[in-house]
Amino acid sequence: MIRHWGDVSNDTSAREKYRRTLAERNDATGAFIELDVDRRPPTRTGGALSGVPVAVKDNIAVSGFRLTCGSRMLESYRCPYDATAVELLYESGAFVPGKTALDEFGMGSATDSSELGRCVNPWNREMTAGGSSGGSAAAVAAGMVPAALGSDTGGSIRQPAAFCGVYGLKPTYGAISRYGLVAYASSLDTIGIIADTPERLAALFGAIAAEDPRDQTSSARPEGDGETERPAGQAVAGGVSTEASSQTVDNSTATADPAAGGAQPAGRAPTPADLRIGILSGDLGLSGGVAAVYRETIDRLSAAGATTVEITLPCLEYAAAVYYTIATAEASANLARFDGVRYGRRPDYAENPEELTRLARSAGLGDEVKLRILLGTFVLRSGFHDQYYARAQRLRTRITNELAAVFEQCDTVLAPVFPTTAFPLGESGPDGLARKQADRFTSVANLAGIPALSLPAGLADNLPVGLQLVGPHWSEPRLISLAQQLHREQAPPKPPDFPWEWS
Amino acid sequence: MIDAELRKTAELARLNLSDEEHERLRGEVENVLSYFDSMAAAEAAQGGATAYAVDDNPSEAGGNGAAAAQARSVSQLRPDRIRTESIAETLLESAGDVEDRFIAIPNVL
Repeated sequence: MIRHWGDVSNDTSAREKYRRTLAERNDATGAFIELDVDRRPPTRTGGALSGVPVAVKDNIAVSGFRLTCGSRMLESYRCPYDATAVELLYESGAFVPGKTALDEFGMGSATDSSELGRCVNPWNREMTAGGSSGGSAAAVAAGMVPAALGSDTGGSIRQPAAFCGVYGLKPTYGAISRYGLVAYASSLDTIGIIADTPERLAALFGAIAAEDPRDQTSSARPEGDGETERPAGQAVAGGVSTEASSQTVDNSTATADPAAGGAQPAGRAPTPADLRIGILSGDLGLSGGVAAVYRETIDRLSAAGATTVEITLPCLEYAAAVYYTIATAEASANLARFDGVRYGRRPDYAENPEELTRLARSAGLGDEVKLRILLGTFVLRSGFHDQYYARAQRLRTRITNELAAVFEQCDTVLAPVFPTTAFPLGESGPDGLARKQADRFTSVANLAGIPALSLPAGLADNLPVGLQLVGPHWSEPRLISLAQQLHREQAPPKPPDFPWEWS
Repeated sequence: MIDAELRKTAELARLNLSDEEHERLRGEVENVLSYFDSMAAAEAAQGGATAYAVDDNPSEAGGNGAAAAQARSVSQLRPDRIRTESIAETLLESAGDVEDRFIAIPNVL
């Protein structure tokens, strides 16, 4: 019998069953670093997410739980406060059953580097769940929670969502407060959502997207857009149903965007027939399986009446290099705070404060984090700054302009998320540089600050293939609505080993 | 990257690298930096730098046309309001060892 997710917190026996399911499935997947259904039970009923469990990536603050970021540096750090996004989830009636596994500080593509918890793909446990929000994606795919918070700096929500066959939303930069998200690369970081259906994405986005005085870079939807002031907790699925402002796309679709939430249509949602979908032409370097699903999905959209427009994005050639230059530079500054004094791990003995910091960092940070700090320090160094960091900043402007021009030709771009399906864990997988170069399709949205939604589009060799819908600033309702229509046509399959008990 | 550059960079980043780490990371850093060098070919012929995804001064930053308009549309100033909000007490409570309102740490001299 399939029951509603809200029921898992109904009574002692429902809770007991949920607790057991979570424990079994966590043994199988490693999705959670810390798991405790009873630690923060729901305190509010009647909200849109009443009684629904939502997992939270362990680089986002939830008081009562640890906040490790998957790092030995913060292994014992107990979090004293809630992120704004988490506060808003509580106000909607949701509860947090635990914190999910990640690559250390969000730096990675496989959730395989942290010593605090490694995670596998529920579809095939020899494969990676993706990263860095691998635990959040695996938890949703394995039917442990219907939704989870993650963070996306260069693809860290969309890539694991694609690998695990679930939905992932990286919102417009600033749409969801970053207060309580441990900073990796501040100009690129976003909190986002992983969920089992587009409706659930819409419900969570409606609950947590809000301007927040505690995050200066957060912003409300532009004025005239109907959602400048959203009372906290007004978490209805239709909460995202207001008009998507698309300054550059001034055509009939711009007035036909409402009702992405679907539950309470305030007007007609855009159908594929209303939309011009941008399709990437040329050799994209995709594996055979991913290329086939990309073509099939284009055909599905065409069959539904969408106009497809062939576009090119020359910036895909260099986007990942720009992304990693900027991300590592910002990371080197953001992670300077882990000095062994203010947070976390500290050596037993040091000769002086400088040595204390060196010993703490050298012992507390993992290989990939050290690599990125070194890279970021190097690209900012006097004498190398112009060659690397300044150049990347200029190219970032070009990428932003290139995308703005693309959104004059089409309303939404359908693009791959990653060139392959989930890759094998361990030595036989791609090496560090190959993984970084493969972030080219996802990192452009972070560099331009625009939203992108990863959706499960098919299978290749029994592994999910994800594709992403990318739109201009604040076009989340349109992206969700389109994903919904594809979902209604053909609901994506679930991993065979993890039948759903709740829906 | 020559050894001296990596040592200097590690020094600036306040990381001690063991000989083994130094060897391994040197290879990886060299790999990624040569990948970064591919940006030279793509160097922007025009336009300034973008430091933030949502820029307060898109025209100064070299953005123009639709991109700048878009950036302006999401960039807003908030009104000045008096707020009182502090989690200082909560943070102090989570410190390991506190004397009055100071956090006590081991002697490092």
